[in-house]
Amino acid sequence: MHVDPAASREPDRQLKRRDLLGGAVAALVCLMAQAEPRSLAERSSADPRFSLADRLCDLVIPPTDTPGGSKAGAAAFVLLAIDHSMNALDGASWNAVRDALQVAAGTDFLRLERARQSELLEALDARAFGPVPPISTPSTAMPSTATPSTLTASNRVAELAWQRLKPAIIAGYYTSQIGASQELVYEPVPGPQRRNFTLTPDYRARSNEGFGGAL
Amino acid sequence: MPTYDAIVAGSGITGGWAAKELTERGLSVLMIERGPSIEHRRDYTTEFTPPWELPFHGFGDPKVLATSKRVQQYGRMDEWTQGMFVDDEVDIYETPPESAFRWIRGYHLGGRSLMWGRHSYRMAPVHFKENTRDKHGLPWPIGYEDLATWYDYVERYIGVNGTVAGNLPGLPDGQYQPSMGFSAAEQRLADAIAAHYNDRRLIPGRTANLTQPIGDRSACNNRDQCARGCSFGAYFSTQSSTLPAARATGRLTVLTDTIVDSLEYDATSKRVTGVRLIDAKSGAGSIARAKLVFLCTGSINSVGVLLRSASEQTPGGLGNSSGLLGRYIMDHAFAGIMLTTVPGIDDQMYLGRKPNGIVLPRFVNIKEQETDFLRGYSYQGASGRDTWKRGGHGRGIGLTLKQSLEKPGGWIVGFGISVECLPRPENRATVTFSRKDKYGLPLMHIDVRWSDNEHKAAAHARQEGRAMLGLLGGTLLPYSEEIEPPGTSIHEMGGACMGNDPRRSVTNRHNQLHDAPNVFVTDGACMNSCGDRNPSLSYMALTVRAAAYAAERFKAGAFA
Repeated sequence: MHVDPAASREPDRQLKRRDLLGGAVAALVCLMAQAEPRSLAERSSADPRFSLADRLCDLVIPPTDTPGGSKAGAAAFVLLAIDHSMNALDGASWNAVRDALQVAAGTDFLRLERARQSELLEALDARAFGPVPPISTPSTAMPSTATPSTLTASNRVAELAWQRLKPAIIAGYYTSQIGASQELVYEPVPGPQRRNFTLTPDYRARSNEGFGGAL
Repeated sequence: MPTYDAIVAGSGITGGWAAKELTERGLSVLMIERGPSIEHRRDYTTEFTPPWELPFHGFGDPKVLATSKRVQQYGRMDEWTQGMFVDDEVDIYETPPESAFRWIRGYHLGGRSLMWGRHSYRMAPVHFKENTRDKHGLPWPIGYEDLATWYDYVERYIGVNGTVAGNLPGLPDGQYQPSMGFSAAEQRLADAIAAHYNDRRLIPGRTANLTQPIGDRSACNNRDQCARGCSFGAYFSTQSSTLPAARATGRLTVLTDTIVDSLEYDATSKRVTGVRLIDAKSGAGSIARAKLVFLCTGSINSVGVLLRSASEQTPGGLGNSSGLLGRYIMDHAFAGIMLTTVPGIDDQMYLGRKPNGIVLPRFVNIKEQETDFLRGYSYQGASGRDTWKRGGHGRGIGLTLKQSLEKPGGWIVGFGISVECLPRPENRATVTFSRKDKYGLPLMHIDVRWSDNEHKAAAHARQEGRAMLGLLGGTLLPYSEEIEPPGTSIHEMGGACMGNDPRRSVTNRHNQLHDAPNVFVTDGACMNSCGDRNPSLSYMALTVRAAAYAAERFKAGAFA
């Protein structure tokens, strides 16, 4: 977990003694009692979709000084989202993205160099989120397979599918333990609020603010 | 089972208060809760659960949202709190498609006091006068002055943070702990509105979250996840506040997993002599006896208890000699959320997620009729920085995206619109005796529809909202032009309205049934109008007032 320099410098950001009276003590005991993490059920690497999902997560959120999408296990959440139709995702969406990347690659996408994979995914992302406003209406006619001859017509389908898939990748990462608490600051008990200070360059966003709601 | 001085049916916001006040005034009380027990701290099972430990990382199982939580999801429900809400496939009710009433409930000890929004505003004097003024609904038999001291008492006990705003025409001040204040975006909006308008003011919200400790309840830690339960006791709930006080008297007995079926009525004495119960686990029936009964099961359920208490002497239901029981059901018309970006303050930040926001009290039609609709509306909102979710909805991948999401996104501020619903007799809760739920209880049938007045007020509010948010020079985000179905505000009320005339009301000015004076109805069912704001504080004040009266009359032998 990142240490927030601003928090550690500010005495009023610490739990004060009076907060440790009464309810606070019991609350902290509860917090400590739940220390054993239970991650989302591990996705089997035997799932034929896993390798591509894992790579897409790592291309979207690459490893830096903190782990990327792959190490965070974001792909498991993405496949869960597809299998349970979260965010109007479904198998057809997945297939549309997969097929678009395969055709763009001219070979197996996963056999390409990482840099080339990133170029192709960036191109799809640019088309999906570029000048044309994203369309949120779910499509009902996504092909399960695609050939070069159908891809011209289905480019937009793939772009729409990517608009639905990408939020799941982002959510999978930033709600993972790594994304939430290593890449960003996980702050389960902020303590007293501090209002209206000037941001400093070392400020790191709090993951908690994005939890819940829609993807 | 012994005979108690009083039975309090329900353990939510008003049930907890009734139990506290009656026991502290010396009465023995049996509190009856239809759902299971939830003990403070021990049973807040997801309070500290991080998203990666939840099956759907906090976003919820779509299948659950489409089935057992298809209605409840419109409350403050998420994957952490879904266990606090009823099962829509078990706790069923009827509502016609034209109404599509959303009945959002929590059946457990503490009821919705555990998941409530905590916004605590007094009704304004004008709210008590408008039924008489525009001849909609039943005249209130009490005025603001009858509740003012009880508001004081409740606010001090539960702990409400807020600012004294100078008794705005549409919003009286109260007894407040230090305010949670404005964020930078909220301050900017407040300043812009103050500079542009003479008739309205944006002020910090007033919520029942402590900014100073009370007893063993500590100050809020700004987690903004109150509905999971708070082991710090930093927001008001039955568990954190009134239940411990009632238990401390040694005069409280709590019976959970027990459903109130109906009331046993003795026509000779015109008194209720017992409460018929159903064991929620075994289905076994029983009866509990007391000299007094406080109905605090929530407006619709309290109406249901009385309608199910029909007898030869009371064929239309107990307390229904006026024929008005179940009529004038209301909710605030939730007319959508309007948001804008806020340019120019991206260097300003906050720490902590304050469980509070902003409110802009009603400013139309207070002194005189100004618009083509009656009564008014208010705004309630919040602000914040865009979160990491923006990464899924915009262009960019890789290192640039990751680095961007390490910083907060742009500011967003805005508000939802809460429109007063006119009290109309055709908006009703009835009982369908031919259809029963798994406990054998006939289904409630709820038919509440918005009138042209609510639609006109909502349109006016959107127009004014656009103008106010436009002062910030940001981008107004898309918003709905529709009013959400009734029930969405979770402020359902009415059905056992108060009045001085037994022929024209169900309860009297002390919340007693005209037809059975040892029954007090003090939840939202007693409300004659809904105002434009969160009603729980008013329910509490009414309950405390009624309990004080009941205890006084009890000691005088009125219920012997």
